[in-house]
Amino acid sequence: MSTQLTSNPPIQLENVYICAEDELVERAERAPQPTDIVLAPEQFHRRNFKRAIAEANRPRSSLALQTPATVAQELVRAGQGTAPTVLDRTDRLRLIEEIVEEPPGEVAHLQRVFGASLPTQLARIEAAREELSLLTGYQSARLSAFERVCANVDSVARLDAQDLRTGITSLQEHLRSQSDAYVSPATLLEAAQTLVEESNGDIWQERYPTVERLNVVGVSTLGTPLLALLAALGEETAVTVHLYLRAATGPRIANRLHSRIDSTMNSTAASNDSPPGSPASAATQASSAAISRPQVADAVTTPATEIVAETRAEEARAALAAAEGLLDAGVSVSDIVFAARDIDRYERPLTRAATAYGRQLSVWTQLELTRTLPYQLVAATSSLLAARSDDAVTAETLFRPLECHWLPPDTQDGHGQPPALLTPAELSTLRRALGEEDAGTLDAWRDTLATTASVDASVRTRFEEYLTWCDQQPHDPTPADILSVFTPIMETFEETVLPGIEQRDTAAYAETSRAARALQRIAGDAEGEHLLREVRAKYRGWQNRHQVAASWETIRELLDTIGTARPGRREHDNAECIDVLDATDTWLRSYPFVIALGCVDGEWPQQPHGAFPVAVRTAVAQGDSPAARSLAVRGAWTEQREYDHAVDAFRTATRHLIVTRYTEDVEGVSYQRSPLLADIAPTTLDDDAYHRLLGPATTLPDRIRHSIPPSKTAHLEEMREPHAQ
Amino acid sequence: MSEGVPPLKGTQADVRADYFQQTAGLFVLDCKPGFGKSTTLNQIAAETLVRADAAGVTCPEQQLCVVSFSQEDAASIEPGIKAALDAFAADTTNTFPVDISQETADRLKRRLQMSDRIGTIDSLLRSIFEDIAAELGFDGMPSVGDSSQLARLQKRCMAAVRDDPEYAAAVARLDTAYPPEEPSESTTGNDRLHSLLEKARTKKRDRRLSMDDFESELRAMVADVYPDGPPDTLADLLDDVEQFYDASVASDVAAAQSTPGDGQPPVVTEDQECYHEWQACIDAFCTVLDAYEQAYDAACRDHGVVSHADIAYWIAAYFDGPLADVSGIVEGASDAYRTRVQRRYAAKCQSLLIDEAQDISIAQHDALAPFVTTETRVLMAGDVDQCIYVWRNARPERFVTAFEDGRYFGIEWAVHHAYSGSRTYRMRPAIAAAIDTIFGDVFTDPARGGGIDGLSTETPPDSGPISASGAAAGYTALEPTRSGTTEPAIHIAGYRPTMASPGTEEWFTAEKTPLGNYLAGGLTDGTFDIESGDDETVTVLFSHRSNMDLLANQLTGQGLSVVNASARLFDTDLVRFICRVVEWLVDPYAPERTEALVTAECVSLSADHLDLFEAAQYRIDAVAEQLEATTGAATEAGVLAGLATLAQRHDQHVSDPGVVVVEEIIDQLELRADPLGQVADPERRLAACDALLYSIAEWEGDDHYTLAELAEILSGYVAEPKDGLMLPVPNTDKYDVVFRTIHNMKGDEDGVVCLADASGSLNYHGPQKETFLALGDTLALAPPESVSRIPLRDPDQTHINTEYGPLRWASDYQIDGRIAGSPTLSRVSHRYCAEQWRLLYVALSRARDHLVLSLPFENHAAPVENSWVATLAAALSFDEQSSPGSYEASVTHTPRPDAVTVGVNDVSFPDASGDGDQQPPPRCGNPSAGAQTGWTPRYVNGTSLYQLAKEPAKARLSHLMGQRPDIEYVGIKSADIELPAGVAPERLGTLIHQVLTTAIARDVSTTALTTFIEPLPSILSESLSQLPVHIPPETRASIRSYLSEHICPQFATSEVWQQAQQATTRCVEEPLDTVVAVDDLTIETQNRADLITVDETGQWIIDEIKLAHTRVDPATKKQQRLQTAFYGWVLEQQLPADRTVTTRLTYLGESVESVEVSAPIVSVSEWVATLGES
Repeated sequence: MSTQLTSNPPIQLENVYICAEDELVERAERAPQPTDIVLAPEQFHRRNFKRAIAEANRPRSSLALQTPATVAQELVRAGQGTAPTVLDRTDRLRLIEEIVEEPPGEVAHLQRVFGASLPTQLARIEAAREELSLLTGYQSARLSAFERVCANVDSVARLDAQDLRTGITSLQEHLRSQSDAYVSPATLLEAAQTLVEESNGDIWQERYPTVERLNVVGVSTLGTPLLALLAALGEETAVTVHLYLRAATGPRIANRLHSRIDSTMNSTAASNDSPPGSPASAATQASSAAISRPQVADAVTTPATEIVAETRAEEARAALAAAEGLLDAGVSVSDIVFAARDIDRYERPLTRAATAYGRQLSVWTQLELTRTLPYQLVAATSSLLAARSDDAVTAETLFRPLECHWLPPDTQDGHGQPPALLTPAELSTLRRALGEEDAGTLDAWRDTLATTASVDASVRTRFEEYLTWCDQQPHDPTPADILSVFTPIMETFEETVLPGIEQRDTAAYAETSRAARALQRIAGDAEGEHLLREVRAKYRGWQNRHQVAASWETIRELLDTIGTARPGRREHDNAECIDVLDATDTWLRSYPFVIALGCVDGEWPQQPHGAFPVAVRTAVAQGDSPAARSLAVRGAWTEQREYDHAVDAFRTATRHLIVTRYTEDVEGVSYQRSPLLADIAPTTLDDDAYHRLLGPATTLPDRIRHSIPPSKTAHLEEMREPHAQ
Repeated sequence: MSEGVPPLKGTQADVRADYFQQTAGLFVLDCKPGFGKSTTLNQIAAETLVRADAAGVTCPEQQLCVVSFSQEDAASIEPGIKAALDAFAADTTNTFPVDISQETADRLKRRLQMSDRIGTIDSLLRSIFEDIAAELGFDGMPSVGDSSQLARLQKRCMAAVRDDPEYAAAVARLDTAYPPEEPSESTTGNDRLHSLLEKARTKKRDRRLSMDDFESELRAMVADVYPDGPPDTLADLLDDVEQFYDASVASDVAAAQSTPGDGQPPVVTEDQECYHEWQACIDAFCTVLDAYEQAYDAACRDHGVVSHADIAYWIAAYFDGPLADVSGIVEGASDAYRTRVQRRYAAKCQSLLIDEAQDISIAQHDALAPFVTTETRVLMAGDVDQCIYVWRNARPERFVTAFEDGRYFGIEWAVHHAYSGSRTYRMRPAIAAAIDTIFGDVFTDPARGGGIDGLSTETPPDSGPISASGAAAGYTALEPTRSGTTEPAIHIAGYRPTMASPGTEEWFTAEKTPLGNYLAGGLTDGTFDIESGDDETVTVLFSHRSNMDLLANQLTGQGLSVVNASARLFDTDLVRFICRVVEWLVDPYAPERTEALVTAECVSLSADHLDLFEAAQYRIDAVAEQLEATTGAATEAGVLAGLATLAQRHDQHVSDPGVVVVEEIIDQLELRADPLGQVADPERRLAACDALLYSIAEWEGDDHYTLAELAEILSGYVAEPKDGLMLPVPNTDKYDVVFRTIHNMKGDEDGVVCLADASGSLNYHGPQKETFLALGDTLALAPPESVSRIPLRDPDQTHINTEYGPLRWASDYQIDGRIAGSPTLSRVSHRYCAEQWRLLYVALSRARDHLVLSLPFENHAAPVENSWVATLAAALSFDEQSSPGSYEASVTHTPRPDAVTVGVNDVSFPDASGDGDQQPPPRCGNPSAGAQTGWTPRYVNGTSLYQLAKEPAKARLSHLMGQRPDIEYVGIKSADIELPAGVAPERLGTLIHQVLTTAIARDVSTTALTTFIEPLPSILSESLSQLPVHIPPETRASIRSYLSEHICPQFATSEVWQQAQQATTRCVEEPLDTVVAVDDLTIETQNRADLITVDETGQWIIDEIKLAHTRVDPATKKQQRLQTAFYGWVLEQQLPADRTVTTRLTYLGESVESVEVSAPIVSVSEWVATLGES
């Protein structure tokens, strides 16, 4: 990289902040053109940032919220005149698979790490590729530094790391040479960096003439490609780069910032123990000892209560009981949030507990598209069409679309129960009448129908109509067929079935919302993230590039691949539901009452993980050598990121923090208290209070009751206080 | 923090000292119950970390591996090591030999989290397998230990083998020889051959036998049983009888034969036939097993699933011998990679600590061996006397070899230390003395399996390293460290048995009442007080589950709260009912399925309801019409209504994952509130539902079971509840009495332990009952049942049911202190017996303060060799003369007291009523609260506000779909203007806004706007490129004309344009976001105003531009007014309180029209407030 550290380093330490995003919120103003770009890689962080500004009733046109990839894309577009294309993960995996089938040259080193069958190890290979990109940006100086770090670890870990480095580097070269598109967002950042450097910053000036500041927020990892771009911008343009970092990873990132920008300048490295809320520069004089334990306590400004339950399910019931107690006492559902390190593990237990209390939750996870009725209808229909082409139509395959409400395109609106071509009772009788013998072809099924006298005439007619529809669909579908076959089915579903689902739904309309979101994700009418269009694009692309067969089977596989990889939006449009958030998503949010679940060692903090051997990860993370300090540390490699999440969740509370944990699983295996709680010294709910809370009266402990503000909307008022104009 | 971490003493300290003196070697600790084995291992593990850390090792945890067997034991290792580190840090008096700071302790504790090698041996092997699965032909890492998936897969493999004509003859022969069970009312019948093959497959693998070796084992048994081949004459046969039994049995047999004229008696021919058919069956069995095993392996690879045992087998196979010989190895697999993996894990096992090492199987041993080198430091701790898993492939003799000869993991260890630990920190001296007295005899008695699998050395306690010797099996006394008490610690609840056979339900009926009285008395009168002063809970141990319910009812009747901690989840009616409902839901409209559901045993519906179903011909839709109850009532009628609702929701179940379907069943039927009276204890009910849902979620993972798949899986567990979880016991402390099986209690302890229902004959379930026998190093297939097995009856008929056993198979008949049978079978029976006695040892040694034994005053002369109660009574000098009170029983094999005090029925029998449950019942165990959540939109913007506030029901669906009303453009036809074709009106609206606002933002001149000269064409071009759809050239041209000829000139004349030119502040497409409170809810709004300006007087103005080519209808007009007024209202929130905002709506299109607007009818705040009424 061309950046040289001068007396004004491209990123100055006084522009590095730990847990101080409020300062950035204060920068939100009204402006004809943005003066700041706020770079937040995660969509939810951008959302929360906007929300914080909205809660403060501030204008925000001075700030443009972007992802690093979008900014890079804009710069590349400006530089090259056309919008760059970037491989998505699915395409990348596909390309990697092709390369490693018969690994060329040094890619074969990967066989020393993963064994002979590399195509079975795609996910691990891709993880290593991405990690090496974060660490080194595939820049030769950093790759050498990584090599030096590897050389100092114990024998077998060293061999594994070196072979991974060699194999992955070579793989990356092959990916670059075999694809016209950018391999990943990281290579796009790299291209943008080159353009900035080659144009001496003009390209930036041309594209973002009014922008004075570039603010990075919400990251636990500052990967090398992003850092290189930021440094290039800091060096070549007038823009100043500000980093708003998180509680535990922040100090570490600050600590090695300059050694990463220029590994010869270690001596100016910042310290690592800046307290939350202060610029890191304030602590530059402090020692450079590794962080042992971040001060989580500083994040907790409210009373804290710990609830200890026996099992996870019981913990979820205790958490709901606490929420119910608060609601009974007049607290608004908008003022309570459940947070966990990984809410996937709590979604079902919390939902069950909520049902028992008559409450609905708004769990901010992505919609599991493949588990929705509209998706199942599309998938079942494509399976049927695939089976029809193979003359392998089983009873299960034939009847499944009907069970999922397949309807002919011109069906009228239904009321009450979602309408069906055949009612469940008719379907059941018909299926038993036709028998479970797999007829094989549609004609054979038609024959079976003809020879089965017991079938009611009306049922017979409708079923024949269905068979006819199946017959009329193309055997070797073109990309265009994907929309022409499925869109009418989805439209009928929307117009006819969805109102039926709404009719039978509860007052919270959760099921309707789920089906509606799925429909939108599958067959929304705009380009972009809509499944059928994405499948069409990928089907077309793969047919051109990878010679995949034109078949419904291929389409079915693509539906699954894309439906699973990019499940769908997270919005739950019901203000009466209680929010349930991943801890990382609580970043910058504020709720009076936070109920943080799963404070169990191993669950929060989770066990660190990574693609490289532990010894190498540790050596890089500890940064004991100049070479190690010139590399990025992936967030998932250490527990610091877990502390980030905890601080985010804990400081979200403005009135009372309730932390909960379980002590054993249903198999009787015991679990330990999380070290996150060691600093915050919560008061543990005693046995008696615990049972009264979970008992029939849901008695809220006094300690928590005393935290309830007098006014229901105190939350909003509190938030606005510091920003009121 | 150091509480509960005692410093190492005696042998514990010796092991530690020696261990750290060496860098490599084998250290074997054989120790007694309560020795502190785990404490020792944990402290050594902790010190290993400390030492490596001090030596500068960056990742000390990466060189340490600590494993145990059960999940519970394994889960306590890591906390144990952490507690030891804390204790080292907190130690200020040099109690511990390690001195570290708390900071170091904290750091090492976090380092420990980086390790995957602290846990079960299975988890260690699983992580190794992950590296080699693909080499073995798996498509990545398979799922491990999913018994439901494995059971289904095995069934399919068996079906494939049965369908293959190549094996038809062999299968038919085996089906004849070992006929399947007939289906009965309660079972669908069992594929017995499949059970035999599956057992053979796993046992063969656990022993790592090739098919040839396996076959040799089976044939060796035939040779053992027919030492001289098939008999030619009766004399040959009688020789065998005499050899296996004794002369008197032989003469009895001889006397019973009637020899026809000149030929052999039929028994000889039958015995010959048995021999030949047996050999033929072995042929057939091995052929079919080979096919089955191959099908199994292929299916495991196809479906990506293996068992834990498979993993050990595969690892051992992969690292053993040439790669080319490993079945299924992939093309290209290399020795270099194998060496790499071996080195990886050898590095991670530099310090290898194994707890419960006596339980290691051969496959596990061989799977670990590749990673142990002469550079490794191995510490194995175990207790052969507590080995109760030989039936599950534990090979304690290997542990003995390690202890005595220093051979293990295929290495003759140069550094080898063995230790015997006799101290017990657990039990009171009287309990220790009683155990010594009992087992001093038992473990040295060959008739009770003494000497089999045992250590052959008798050593003084705590003597440190010992050398191996060939001495005869002995018994080492326990060395208790606790002080004694004057009150008895050994208690006998004596009972008078009936004439029934011991071990039967009838016998136990006589036992349960005195035992119940005794426990109730002991709990209330202080007899069971324990040293810790906690409320005592009595743990009652059973060797089997059959009579648990009888005693539970007895105790409950006496007012005690009782819980069975060894009950199985899938044995409970509640769970069985849920499983039945799932099965029904596969096709709920099929009347026969509905009938099967409502008449199932686990439901027991009232006669009225059954009549209702019958009258409706079991059609659920017809039943639903008749029901008065509604879903949600926790009553039987509510359950039926819930079933009807579930049936109607079949469509949803098709797409929902299995776990959600089962959740819905539980919710709809209100099963947590026990409407069918299936589980009275609400906490247990909740726990049962939790456990079932947990299981399904674990099995299902990210997959999606169809209802049929889920039903099949669940029915598999209902048929084999032992494959599923235990029914969890929440809050064990609240119960007076907890029941557990002895196996379940292993590794645990309690203050008061009672052994109940111990009267049965030890050999009742012995090897003689097995068809495929696998115990220790013996594998055998029983002789075919289709030929006579020559039962040897007691000719006296004194006991009509007594048989000596079949001549050519295992028996339970004791002769002269040995069990009759061929040498191998006799030894197997002894090994079986030995394990039964070790089981008793485990049971008795769980007690800390009080040991309660339930013994009969007389025992109908049951032999001590065959009966626990007889042995216990004899050892404790308890007999029919013993009277209530206490007596001194003399003790043996123990160095300390001469006698212990034994209490016999020494409690006052109260009209007991337990403490009662003081805790309020959980609310979730009641019927659920009615729905308390309605719907209020969370996100509203200026365009959606009108409809959501005015017609929420109508607007809801499209709002949930994310569709916002498009009110930027009105009309698609114009009287005067030619509108652009080929672009949707809403897109055109967006585009025009984009062009006009950009023109303002870029400060375009009025002339340029009017004449549509640059930069306007460029702005249009940019705006077009930002549309998410491609616009063809002809459409572009028509849009350009439309703009240049109509819209732009109109706009140039508008007040908006004038205003923009004069404004002091000017923002276009300005975000207007806020969060508003509606009732007590917060609602978020995000908007973009077309233009915000401030004029020279400081007045804020919002301009909203609309395109209209037809008359704007009143409703749309109101909508647009509200939108504009709303923007003004939001802007006002952002401004100081004294500032107001003018809001203006401008129409372009047919003509230019600008009006100042306010919200229609009522204020914006009132419109917003209406949202709360949605």
